[in-house]
Amino acid sequence: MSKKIEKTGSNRVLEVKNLNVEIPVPSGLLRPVQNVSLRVDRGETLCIVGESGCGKSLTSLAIMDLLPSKAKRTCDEMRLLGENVFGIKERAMSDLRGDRMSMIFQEPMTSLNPAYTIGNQLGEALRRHQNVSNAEARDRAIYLLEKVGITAAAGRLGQYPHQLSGGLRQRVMIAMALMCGPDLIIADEPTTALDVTIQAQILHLLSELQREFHMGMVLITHDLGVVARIADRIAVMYAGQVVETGTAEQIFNAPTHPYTRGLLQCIPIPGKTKRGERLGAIPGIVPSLVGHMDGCHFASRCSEVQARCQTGNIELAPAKQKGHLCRCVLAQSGPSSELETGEAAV
Amino acid sequence: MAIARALINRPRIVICDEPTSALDVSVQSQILNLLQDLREELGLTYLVISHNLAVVEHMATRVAVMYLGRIVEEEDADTLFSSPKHPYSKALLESVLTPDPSLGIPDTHLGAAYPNPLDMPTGCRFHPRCIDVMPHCGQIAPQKIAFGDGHVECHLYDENRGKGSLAS
Ligand SMILES: Nc1ncnc2c1ncn2[C@@H]1O[C@H](COP(=O)(O)OP(=O)(O)OP(=O)(O)O)[C@@H](O)[C@H]1O
Ligand code: SF4
Ligand SMILES: [Mg+2]
Repeated sequence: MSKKIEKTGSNRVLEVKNLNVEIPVPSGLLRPVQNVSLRVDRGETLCIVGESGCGKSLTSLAIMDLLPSKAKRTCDEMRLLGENVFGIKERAMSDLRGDRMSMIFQEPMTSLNPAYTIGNQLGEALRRHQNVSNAEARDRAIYLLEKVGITAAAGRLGQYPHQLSGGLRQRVMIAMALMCGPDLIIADEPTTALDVTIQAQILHLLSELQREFHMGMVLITHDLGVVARIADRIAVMYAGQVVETGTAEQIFNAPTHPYTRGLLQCIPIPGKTKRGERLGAIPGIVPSLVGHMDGCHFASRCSEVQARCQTGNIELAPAKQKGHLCRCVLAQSGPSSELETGEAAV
Repeated sequence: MAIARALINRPRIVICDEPTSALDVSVQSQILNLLQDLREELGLTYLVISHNLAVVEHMATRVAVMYLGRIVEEEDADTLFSSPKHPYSKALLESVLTPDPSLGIPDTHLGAAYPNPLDMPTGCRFHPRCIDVMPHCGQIAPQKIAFGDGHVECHLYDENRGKGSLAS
């Protein structure tokens, strides 16, 4: 086992306040991430959920400082284990990446190099950050490959990525992300490309490892089933913003934002929706995020839209329970709101 | 658009290969609703190919479960979803993550490796991952066994050696 840098202090692994990303595009300035605030504690899983293009991946890349070069990020605060990591030198950042925080991508081949063996790549992931011998690195690699459910792990070290199936590659990726014993792991759609049974196995594994190693985890997905099962807390994103955040129970049992409620009504739920019954729908399309947008981003599709939704900046404000926040004028009108009567349950 | 094009020649059977797999849920629900409406209005029959079990349960009247190129179980949808027979069908149904925050990620106890389709396992193709595997599963390919209005391919249901029950 490798030595682990002891960090003192709080349980807050990641704290991000008002993260913004801007990308110049031919039609103007794209603002795919707008004032996104997130926090993750040790041992906690935060799921970022939202539909394609809402800014989930760019949010995670901005945290890792891996945005495309033409993209610009700003934020009020970004702390890893209490220490500022925003605007620090690339050298210092790459020391943290893979060591204190690591990322698992949807497509394992974005992180695995086809030209090197599994053993080489796993070992390198550790040796880059820690002064360990080859034998120590090899032991750690075998230990983690076994942890992620790969049998005869020692024999796999000499194999190349293309010799493994998709599910195995994703397991190797997970092992690689864990080599240095990170405090934070960000997984962007880690199982979307996999078979249903393999997806369940990998997610089961991830949540076990996260608990065992007591890491903070940010899991990005658009699959509400996955979110419900794995998340402690959830951030629902729509068109570049977090529109609702709260515990898994709050989001699934008392969804408050009209977009969250719409999403939950769209999915067939075995045992709940009747076979062949019409599903809910969210008519309309996602607005363009080029340029400045006034009012609620969901206004063009919301069935409860009002005049006051169209102007100004709608804040993420407390909903019914502690820790539950919602970006909607209806949730902000205080206890007299109709939302308080609990009609929102899905 | 793709749906309209498929219907131009007034077919009676429409094959939908992963009709919603790449779609967001809000678009998926619109497509599923549309498919249901058209089925009723035009009296269509669909052959839906999907790996999304929630979609299958929502749409299907009959279901065939495939594993590595073989239909390992087939029957009406109610029977499959209430009493799956084949160990793979069982694992598949267990793997469905319904959006219930009081439940965790299920442990299907399946073997990890999805085999290489070019190097097909001998005997029952599912045996390397099966939790009910028996010694002869790796040698002898199971035959189709009929029950009710369906069938299953699994040695658990062999007449003499089997220990599974086909009563539903
Ligand atoms: N390099 C880039 N240049 C220009 N626009 C980009 C770039 N990367 C992403 N975008 C745009 O930014 C928006 C957010 O992208 P992002 O990849 O974060 O979405 P996402 O929520 O991860 O979606 P998905 O679920 O499809 O992965 C999208 O509209 C996307 O088209
Ligand atoms: S602020 Fe208005 S438009 Fe936006 S979600 Fe709430 S009710 Fe709908
Ligand atoms: Mg993405």
